Amino acid sequence: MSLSSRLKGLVNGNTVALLLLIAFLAIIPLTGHRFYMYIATLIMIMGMFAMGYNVLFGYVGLLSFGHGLFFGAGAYSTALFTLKVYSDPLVGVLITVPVALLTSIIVGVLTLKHGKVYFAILTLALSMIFWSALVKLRWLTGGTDGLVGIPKRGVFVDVSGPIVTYYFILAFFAVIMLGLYILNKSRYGLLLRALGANEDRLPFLGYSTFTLRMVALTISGTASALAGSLYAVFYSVVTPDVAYWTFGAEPLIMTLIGGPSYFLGPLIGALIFVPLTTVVARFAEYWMLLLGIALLAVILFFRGGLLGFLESLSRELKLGVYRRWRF
Amino acid sequence: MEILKVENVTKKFGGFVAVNNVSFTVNRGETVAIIGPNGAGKTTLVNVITKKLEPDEGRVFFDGFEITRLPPHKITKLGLVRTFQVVNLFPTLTVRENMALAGLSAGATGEVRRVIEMLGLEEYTDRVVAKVPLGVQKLVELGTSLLLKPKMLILDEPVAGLGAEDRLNMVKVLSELKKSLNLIIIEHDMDVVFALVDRIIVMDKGRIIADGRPEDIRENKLVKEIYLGGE
Ligand SMILES: Nc1ncnc2c1ncn2[C@@H]1O[C@H](COP(=O)(O)OP(=O)(O)OP(=O)(O)O)[C@@H](O)[C@H]1O
Ligand SMILES: [Mg+2]
Repeated sequence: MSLSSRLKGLVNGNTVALLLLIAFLAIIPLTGHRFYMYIATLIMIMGMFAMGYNVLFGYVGLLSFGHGLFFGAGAYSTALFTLKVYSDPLVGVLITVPVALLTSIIVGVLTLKHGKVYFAILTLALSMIFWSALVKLRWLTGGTDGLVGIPKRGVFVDVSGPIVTYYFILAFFAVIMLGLYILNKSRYGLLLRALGANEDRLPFLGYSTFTLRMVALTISGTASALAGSLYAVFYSVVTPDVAYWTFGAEPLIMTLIGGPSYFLGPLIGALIFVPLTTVVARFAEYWMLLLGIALLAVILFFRGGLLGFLESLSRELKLGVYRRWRF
Repeated sequence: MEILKVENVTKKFGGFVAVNNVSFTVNRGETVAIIGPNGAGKTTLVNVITKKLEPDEGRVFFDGFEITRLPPHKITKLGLVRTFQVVNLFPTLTVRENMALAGLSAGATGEVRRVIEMLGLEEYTDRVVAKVPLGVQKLVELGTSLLLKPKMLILDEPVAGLGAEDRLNMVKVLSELKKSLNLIIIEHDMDVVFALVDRIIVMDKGRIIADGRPEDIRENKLVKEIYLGGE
């Protein structure tokens, strides 16, 4: 078997890539290297955030500047629930789901009926309001200090050791990634892609575009909120920063870097973005410069992101056309 | 028994009246053509009936329901389905996926295969719609419409842009279809019109100027002057 056809077999399926990645993440703690575990955890959390974000951005074509709201809602609902109601990380993460559903519906009703440009602005506005509320409602949220001491030890699970925390997050990561993959392959995935491809046609096939957009927003919001929830468990601390609008733009940046038309694009973006932020962000001014140049390069020359670049490269080299990378 | 009733419908664009106080009814089983010169208001009339556009005045009834205030997806669900003058599909999705969307909507996923075969589209099923010939795209649009199980199908220029062979094929398919559902066909090709319909409505400058059997329309002096004479 030639190398190229073997390569093809390996990289062709999104499932294979996803399973390999999960397996790879699963063995990282065996290195005993705390820093690698730290980076890998952030990749999982930010990867989930970006993958959730892209359900709206890549599939449906809706640009949100307010996804910090969902991430923040997840992080704060877990923090508040475990601190004030019931001290268990597992229940604390699961409680995010109904919170996210409710948040998505409220956000959807307020933002989805006014066209794409206004959607971007309205989501931005809502996330700003949410951030202000987190800062101002000190009695509930701890203001700018946030909430500290989010418990890792609970009634059902005890994730107080770093390795257990890691696998706890990996388990959620795996479930959500596979869930998104199944969604992508299902009829709902097809409907969401149709929404992105030619939204105006759908009513004439008997579909309410508002309902479909709402479904997309809810899936996207829930995945993002779960990412925020795990973030809260991981750090044991949440501050309003997680709902700040610049943080809400990070999944967009990751998605653009990886490739928004590819199922795994946002995750690949996180794989690049997270280590870079962790290492380079210490030199703040260079970080902004680097990020600016990277974004410029992506938009001007590599519109399909890294995966788009690889797809055209593989076409050049006659390795076959990997349309199946796309969702 | 009437299935579609259009009552005093008017549509303006700014000061320009594109559809001017149009009324007509279509009975069950009738196959109707709407003809008229470019800019007569045919497409606009269909857009208003199917709520692609809001009418300024008038009312529309379909199958016993008033649909004037209904959103387009509910009108579609009632069984009033349309195609578009400029092919309107999901260009980045495959032929099969386009069909599946319609099948899903009407709970007819099981029939996608049958419709693909009936239209002779087997060799294109897994091709992206943007990359198949226009004749195939037009058939795909017809196929998606059929999967929606319409009671009435409005076709806006089904053969426009097609070559002779594709035209013949489309006429053949449509003459089968008209046996089982109400067709309204907007068309410039008079051979196609005369081959298919029982009745012709002629529009000009937003108004209906004639309405009758094809033989009568062919002889109608006004129509000859305004429309047929111009060709
Ligand atoms: N959205 C719009 N805004 C402004 N004017 C419009 C719009 N749609 C149509 N018109 C105008 O309304 C008139 C009727 O257009 P319409 O498309 O209904 O004609 P038609 O009978 O379908 O013509 P054709 O045979 O060329 O398709 C034309 O003068 C057209 O320019
Ligand atoms: Mg027209």
